[in-house]
Amino acid sequence: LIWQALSDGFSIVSEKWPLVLAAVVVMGLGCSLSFFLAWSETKEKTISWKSMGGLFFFFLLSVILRLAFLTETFVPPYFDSVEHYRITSELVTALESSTLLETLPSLTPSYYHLGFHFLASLLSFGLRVNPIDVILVLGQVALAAIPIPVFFLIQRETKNTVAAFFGTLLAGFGWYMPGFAVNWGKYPALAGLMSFELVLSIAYFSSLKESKRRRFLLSGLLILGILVSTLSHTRTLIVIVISFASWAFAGKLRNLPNGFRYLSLGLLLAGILSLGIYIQQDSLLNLALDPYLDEGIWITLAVVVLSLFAFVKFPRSTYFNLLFLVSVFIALLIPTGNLLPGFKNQTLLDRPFVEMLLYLPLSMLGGLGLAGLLQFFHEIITFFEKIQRPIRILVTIVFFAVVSLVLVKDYNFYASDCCKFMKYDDTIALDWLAANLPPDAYILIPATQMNVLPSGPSESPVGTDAGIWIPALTGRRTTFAQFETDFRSPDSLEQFCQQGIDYVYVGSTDQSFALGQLLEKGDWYERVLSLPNAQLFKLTGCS
Amino acid sequence: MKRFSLLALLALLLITSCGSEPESTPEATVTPLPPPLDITYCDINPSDLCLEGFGLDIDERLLILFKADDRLFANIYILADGPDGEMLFECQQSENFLENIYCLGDEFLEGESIKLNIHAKSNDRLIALGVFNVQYSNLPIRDVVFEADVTPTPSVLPAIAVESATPTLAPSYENPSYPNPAYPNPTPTP
Repeated sequence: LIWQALSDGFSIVSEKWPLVLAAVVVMGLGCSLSFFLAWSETKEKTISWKSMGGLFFFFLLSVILRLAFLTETFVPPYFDSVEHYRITSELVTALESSTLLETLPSLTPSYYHLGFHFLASLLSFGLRVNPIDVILVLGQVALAAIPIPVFFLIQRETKNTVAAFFGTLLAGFGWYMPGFAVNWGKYPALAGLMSFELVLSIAYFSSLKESKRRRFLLSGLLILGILVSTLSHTRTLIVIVISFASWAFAGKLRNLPNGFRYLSLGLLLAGILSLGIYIQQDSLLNLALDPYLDEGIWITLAVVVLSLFAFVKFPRSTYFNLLFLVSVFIALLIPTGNLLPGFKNQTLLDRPFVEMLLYLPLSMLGGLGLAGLLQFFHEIITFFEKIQRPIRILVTIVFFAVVSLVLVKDYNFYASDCCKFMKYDDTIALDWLAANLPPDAYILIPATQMNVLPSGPSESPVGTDAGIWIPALTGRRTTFAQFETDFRSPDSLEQFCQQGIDYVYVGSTDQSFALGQLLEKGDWYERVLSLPNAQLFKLTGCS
Repeated sequence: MKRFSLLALLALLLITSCGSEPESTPEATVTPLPPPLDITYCDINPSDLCLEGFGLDIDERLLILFKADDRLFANIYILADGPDGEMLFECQQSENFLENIYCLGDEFLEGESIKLNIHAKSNDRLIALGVFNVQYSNLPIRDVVFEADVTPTPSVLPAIAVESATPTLAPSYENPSYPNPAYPNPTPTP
């Protein structure tokens, strides 16, 4: 699978290389900031050029593997992506017509995470490339860049490059999150995670600076980073607050007498366990833990074991990660109430975001833990110097082998069928539709209610097949109907007639309209386009 | 000085040899054209040009659907041999997805054999061919089975949420908006 992914990734690189190169440069700049901070922080350079070369190679390899996702992917997946495309396209148009300031207020009815869209529109505008391609490629490259800042954080804290690589490998491929989130079109959230990691790096490295002038400079950079991160995804602001509070509190805990330190550790672990059990019992929220408890259980268990060594050797960082975990779980449960207009029934952090985010504390704990374990061996077997080195190498190999085995065996680099709305036939159907339907045609497309919060499904419908791309790609108007709508019912027909529906689109997802019902009622719905996996019907049954 | 003279002589030789290249004979320049590509269905062999299937539209036009990974095959037309003789199918790339191509022409009957002679628009050369049976009837028909306790409704959104008094489907956590399908995910597309 991994060779196939590499081969497919190379094909995408050769096909879209200017765009891939530009995206690598943009995301590489972000990674370079982490490197620069780590590099300039100490006089004795603990990061060798060889390690940097290895990290760069890891990044490029990740880019190629991640690009395999674009094989047979025509548009960014799932329903969110239509909005990403619309906003990016409008920004490109605004850039072309120099009307950016006038366009901004009308872009979205309520606030939306615009950072990713700005970046995508700049690339699209600069390279004259279709925004669809830019979103697809930039998203994958962002995903490949996400593990890189983790390397510098662990390396600086532990001075152990091997452990830093281990943490980086975990952050990239240890669990199927955050990689799977591209299937949900979570591009702003991925850009937000990358920005958040950079903010974390700036904050961490500035806390180590002794020179007031440099601290001042880094504080300026930190404020800028927080702004960029919040612009990329609003919820990262909550995560940043959680991180800062966790770091400060971890500093206090570390300085406690030993007895209190162990007590606080016990309380934290009990908190994580009880919150985890509570979350696990909720039929919707429990999905947040799926990547780490279901298929990822062995990696998670390895991290749990390593965390013991992390605590012994790096108590503050371990406290930080445990506090971070507890706080994120709590934020998943705290409702916003009426604090934010238009966002009632939300919680401070939503389930998908938490699911995407948990890789970070876990991979940090994994990296810190491996460094702690290696130090432990170094200290405990000082009497047998001859076997010390082979044992440390063996331990390192075992942990890398476990993650690599999971990666090679199970990791899926391709787009999941769960969320691929646009299939081959849909692309042709949309072209046919654009060429043959009147400009004012009104088309019915399938939808369901968004279901993310424990409080129940949202009132806002979301599209469930390629029909949601009709307005963006053909300019025709659409309206939603529940995908389970019974087309044999006269009531349905009457309602459609009252609404002025002209056509019904049937894609090929599990939540497309029931084709059989439409065919059964041929006198009400006349088939005007028939492809193996996409159909269009004209409403002819209105009197 | 001697070395410089040698270099100058060499340069002169190079320049003159470039200029006095013997006139090439037609035999020397004409490379044999590659034979027309044999095409098949994409799910059998996703080569540079392959057939995705057939479709029909309301004007009784047959749609022939291709995938052309190689952009050389992007500008094509088809001369199709059918029971009623040769027919022209005009082809075009999908506007947003350039590797997807569809060709429009007269309808063929279900099960009829069609020989596709695919020509390049630029020089009318036959670049690919294949023989297929036109199939419309394998189109999928999916039906919804409603659960016993749920009344099927004419549930047009957003009417459901705002004003519909008709019973609606109970909130189901079976299909959350961000699914976590069984992992590893379904078999990747090759």
